[in-house]
Amino acid sequence: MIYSRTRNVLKFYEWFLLLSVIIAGLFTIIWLRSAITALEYNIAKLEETKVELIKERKELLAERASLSSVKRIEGLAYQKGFSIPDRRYIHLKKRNESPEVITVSGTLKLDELLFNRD
Amino acid sequence: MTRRAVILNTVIVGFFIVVLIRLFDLMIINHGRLKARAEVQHYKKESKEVSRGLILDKRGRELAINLDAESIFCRPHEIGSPERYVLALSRFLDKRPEVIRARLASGKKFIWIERGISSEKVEPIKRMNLKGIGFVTESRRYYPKAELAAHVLGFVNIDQRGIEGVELMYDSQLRAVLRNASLLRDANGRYLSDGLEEPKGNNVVLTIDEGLQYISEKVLENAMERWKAGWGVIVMMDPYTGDIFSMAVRPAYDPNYFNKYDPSVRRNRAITDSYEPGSTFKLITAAGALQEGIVSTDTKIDCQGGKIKIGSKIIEDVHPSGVLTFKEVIDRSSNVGTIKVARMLGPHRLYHYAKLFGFGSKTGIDIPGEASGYLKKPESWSTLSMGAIPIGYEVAVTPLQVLRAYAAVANGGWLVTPHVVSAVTAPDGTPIYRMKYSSQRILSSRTAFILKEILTGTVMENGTARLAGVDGNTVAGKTGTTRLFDQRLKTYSKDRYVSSFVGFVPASEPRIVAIVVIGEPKGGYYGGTVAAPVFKELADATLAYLRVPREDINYLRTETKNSTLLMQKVIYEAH
Repeated sequence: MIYSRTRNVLKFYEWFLLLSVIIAGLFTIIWLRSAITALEYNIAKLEETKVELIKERKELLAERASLSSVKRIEGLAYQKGFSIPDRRYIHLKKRNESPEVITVSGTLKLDELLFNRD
Repeated sequence: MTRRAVILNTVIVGFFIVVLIRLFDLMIINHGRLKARAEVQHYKKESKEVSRGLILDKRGRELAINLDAESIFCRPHEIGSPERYVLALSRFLDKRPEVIRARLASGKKFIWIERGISSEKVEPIKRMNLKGIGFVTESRRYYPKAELAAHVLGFVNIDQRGIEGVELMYDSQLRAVLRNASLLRDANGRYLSDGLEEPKGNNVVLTIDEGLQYISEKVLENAMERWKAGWGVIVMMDPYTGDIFSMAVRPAYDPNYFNKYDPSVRRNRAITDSYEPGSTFKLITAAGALQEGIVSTDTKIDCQGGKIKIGSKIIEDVHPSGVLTFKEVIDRSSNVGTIKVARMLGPHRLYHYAKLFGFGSKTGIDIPGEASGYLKKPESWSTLSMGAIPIGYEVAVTPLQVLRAYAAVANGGWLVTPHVVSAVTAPDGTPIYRMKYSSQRILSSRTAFILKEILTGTVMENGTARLAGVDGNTVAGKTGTTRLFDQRLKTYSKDRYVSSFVGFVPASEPRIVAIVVIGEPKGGYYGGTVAAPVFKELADATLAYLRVPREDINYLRTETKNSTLLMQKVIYEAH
């Protein structure tokens, strides 16, 4: 008799626990779904902001492209008193690669050896 | 159990049974129908806006980009009083009321009121909250450099489809795939994110350099003004690879407002228009005769005092001469001398070399609308043809074909394929396609070298192109002057000419090959007077831009290793 009563109490708790888990599970699912929906709204809002920012970026890109045009820069340079240099007075110096030297530690340029020594 | 309890139980159970039946109806019997209805209410099918890829110059500077623009549409069957709409829309869109009225009365279910306009214009209309009027944000192509390289870039229509130029040729690459997306929205019409990125087209990288393009256009513009010319073309190319550095065409147009220009203005004359090349075509005779070993540079040719009879016609030289060497014949651009050499070569070999240089065929440039020119077969040549074709008449060529032929001399005998696109990259910059260079040998390097020497002479003191000479670097090239054929009178015009100069610089190791063609100049017409100075101006600025050293300066070089290194160190630090 005592054994039977204990078993009934346990059974009651089992059922209670099971129901609690099911209800908690249901509420969790509902909560998750609503949280996801809320998140989707948030993302959609952020996307709207992103679209606005992309639009602004496109306009800035257009402005940058117009501002950096060679024609405009040349015009500004002339205004500031600059002129295209006369090629007769430009002396371009050839940048020859310095000879390579094979060392124990590997290949080094000769100028590295000469100038970068501690 | 009391009677009341039974009734209560029955009501409760009955209620639940009704609920269950309704649920069964909603979820099982009518599930499909209701689901479809819900989807109609919650999902909206929309074409996602796609951005066309960018067009960049060889240094990554933007030449064609996208801007967002607003478009207004209307569903006429949803609007009440059209007159109210007509007044409001015409006021804010600066359109005549009749235009709006006609559109609204078109009887269609959907009509565009205006497309591609600024959001500032649209805002007041949005605020009016007019029923049946809708708004959509669309992408609009924008060319920030306006007229610069317009004939190369081309333009797109209102639906962002390429219509001309690179925009048309690479349309499939530039255009992203239009994606139809189902967007989820709630009862208030608010959208939920689909989490997908906006699709973008691939970017196209050109071989055009904005700096060189600007120089070419500026120089051409000056020449057009100076000679009050009808049209003009400058094309500049890398002789070794076929990379087009610049392609300037006048008259010009702004691709942002392409509708406002006549189609003839939008034509890329560098590739679509053929003309008779005149003396620049003497290269073919010279190349053929040298390659076949018929003449050498010192071969003496009697120019008969500058006159030769071909059939019933007498062809004359501008500067009559007696006996000249073959080199002098080309340098002084003697028609008589060239015709006599061409006779030695014969019509079949002359035709063969003209074909070998690519005349009468398209160059294969990646811009649509290229003309192949005109070169008839020797079988259909008349008695006059052997007097006309060697000096550049009875043939039609495009400026690009002539440029390509001279590039073959500049690069040692290889015929290259010109192109304006060097690569196609994904929106993130990953290369998708790179231009594959192609060329074929058409001349021996020895012949090319001799031709280069001869062409250098034309820019010297006794040559026809003295004014093309550049300070500090040797130029090689050839002038051309032709009369335009009057289609109405069926004869050559006496006052309409085409002046041209094609050349390369520095002659020994060419960095650029360029052609200048000035159509219908006023106040002068010889290639040496009109086009050659334009080439000089172009070459001067280009060589400075490309930092090509002068050939007449001895660079500071020291013999000992250590002092050389010391000097280099100083230069490195200065940089």
